[in-house]
Amino acid sequence: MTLAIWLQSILDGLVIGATVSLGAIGITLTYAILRFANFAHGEFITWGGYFALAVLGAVAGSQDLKALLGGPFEPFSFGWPLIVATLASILAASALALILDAIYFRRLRRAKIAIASVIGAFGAALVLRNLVVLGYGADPEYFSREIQIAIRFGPGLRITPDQIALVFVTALLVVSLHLFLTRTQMGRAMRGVRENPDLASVSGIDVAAVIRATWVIGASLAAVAGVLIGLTIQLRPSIGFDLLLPLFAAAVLGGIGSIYGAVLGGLVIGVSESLAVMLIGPEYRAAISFGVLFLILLVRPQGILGARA
Amino acid sequence: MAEPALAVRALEAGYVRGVPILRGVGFDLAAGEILAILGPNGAGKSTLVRTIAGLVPRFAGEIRLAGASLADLPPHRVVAAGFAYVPQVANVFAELTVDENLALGGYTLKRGRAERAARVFELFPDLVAKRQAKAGRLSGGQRQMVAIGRALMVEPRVLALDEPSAGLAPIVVEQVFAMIRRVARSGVAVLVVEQNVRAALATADRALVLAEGVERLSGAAGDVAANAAIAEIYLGGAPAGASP
Ligand SMILES: Nc1ncnc2c1ncn2[C@@H]1O[C@H](COP(=O)(O)OP(=O)(O)OP(=O)(O)O)[C@@H](O)[C@H]1O
Ligand SMILES: [Mg+2]
Repeated sequence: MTLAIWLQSILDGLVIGATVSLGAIGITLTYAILRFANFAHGEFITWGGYFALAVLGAVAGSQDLKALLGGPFEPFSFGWPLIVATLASILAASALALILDAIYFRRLRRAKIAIASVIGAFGAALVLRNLVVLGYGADPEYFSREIQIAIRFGPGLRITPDQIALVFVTALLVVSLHLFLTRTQMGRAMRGVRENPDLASVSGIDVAAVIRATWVIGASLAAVAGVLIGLTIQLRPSIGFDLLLPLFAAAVLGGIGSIYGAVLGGLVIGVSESLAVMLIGPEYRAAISFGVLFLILLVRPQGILGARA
Repeated sequence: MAEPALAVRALEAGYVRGVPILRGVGFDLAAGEILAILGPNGAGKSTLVRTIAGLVPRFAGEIRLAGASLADLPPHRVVAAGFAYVPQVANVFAELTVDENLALGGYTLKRGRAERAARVFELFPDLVAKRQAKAGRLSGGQRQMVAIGRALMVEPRVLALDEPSAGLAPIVVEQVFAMIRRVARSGVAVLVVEQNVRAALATADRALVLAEGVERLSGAAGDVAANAAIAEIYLGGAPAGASP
């Protein structure tokens, strides 16, 4: 096999891994701050993608909106309509997360019975996924039917403009989140609550507000991941569900609670899946995340960037 | 007479409904005054300050700060009302820097956070060189300074310290008590829970001795120190005069 094939496979893996990272950040944040393993997190990705699809559909159906928002930014396949759709999707996914927490997850969390939380969240995921099937059917949906011409560079590598946008958006979000967590009072408060909720509350931090912020950030990143998947691959009602185990694998192998660990874990999962597909075939794609997780946890049980308990 | 900075009346509180740990505790604390809360392990000293801080459910009784009821406020509103609390353990954000700990201490402030932090660094000059260090990496004494500095960020009316001298070297203990006196002189009412009875009574104006959630002794620090009953309370709670 030539170097170019290897490099192409790694590149494809990084592109997939970037969306896994965005999802894994939400899982690691909700786990670290709420002590809640959210097995419904993948549905924020699915719903994020479909919220955006709904907005795109509304724009496409209205001559006025189409004229107002214009066509795609060449060479990308998307334009203002997708940006508007993404912002709307972020708001909708955040609202969904806040509502779910208020009516359901909060009770699961209060009960402090780990297995009830896991199964309860899993049940919520099934309901959410089936609601999407009810609304859109099980067939794949596309934001755009146009085939993108890949850009060639280096030793015969290919990447589409949309994939470049995906990597750029992910990097931008990770850097923004880093700045938010280290430079703003709310970001510091989130880190404070993660470490010691009682000390945070007696410092004057409204822990309930921090929990809401956590849901909004996690759901927003998931919504963007859903949009990026819709943009570069396709939407199916099962995308979030299918991503759930890779997301948890990424969060755990990176070190649960660590944002940068989640990012790194997402990229490791993406690249190893991609290499596995090339080397041994697509039927082992799902197993490989866990092979990697297993190997890394053998050496570092706390994950790559995790702190020892 | 002026309204006390903190007034607690007939307080009953505990972790499980129907199982009060505190069974009718009360005291008044004036601005600038230091009250030592003493008593053996498990007496309910921490529970008392945690109840005032809003962390432990109150079953009955009153808690008033400068006349306004604190009862049933969530902890972050109690801080905003002017009550700052330094817990007995895990009293700094170990993974955050000293600067970040102080910033979180001033979370309720709209402005003036930098000025308050500058005042904390005046009080604890040793911390200046450690501003960017994670609090978890500091020595025990420096960590206690961060914990107290964090609480002082809101310029509280009442400062409660739960065993501030625990685990510290004698010379550092002396510094901590000197700092407590300085804070009190600036007009803050101070509540200090202590195992170090001698040092606490030497520093405090008044003392309240708890055992099994009830008040056993209270009064001027000198009188409590001179009272023969105090040793017996620590040795097992037998009433004064009952032991040979
Ligand atoms: N989180 C909790 N849940 C249930 N009971 C508790 C809890 N914390 C303390 N208690 C109980 O409350 C009682 C009083 O404990 P508290 O910590 O207030 O005592 P203390 O006087 O501060 O003791 P020490 O000197 O050891 O710090 C004890 O019987 C203790 O077992
Ligand atoms: Mg105690």
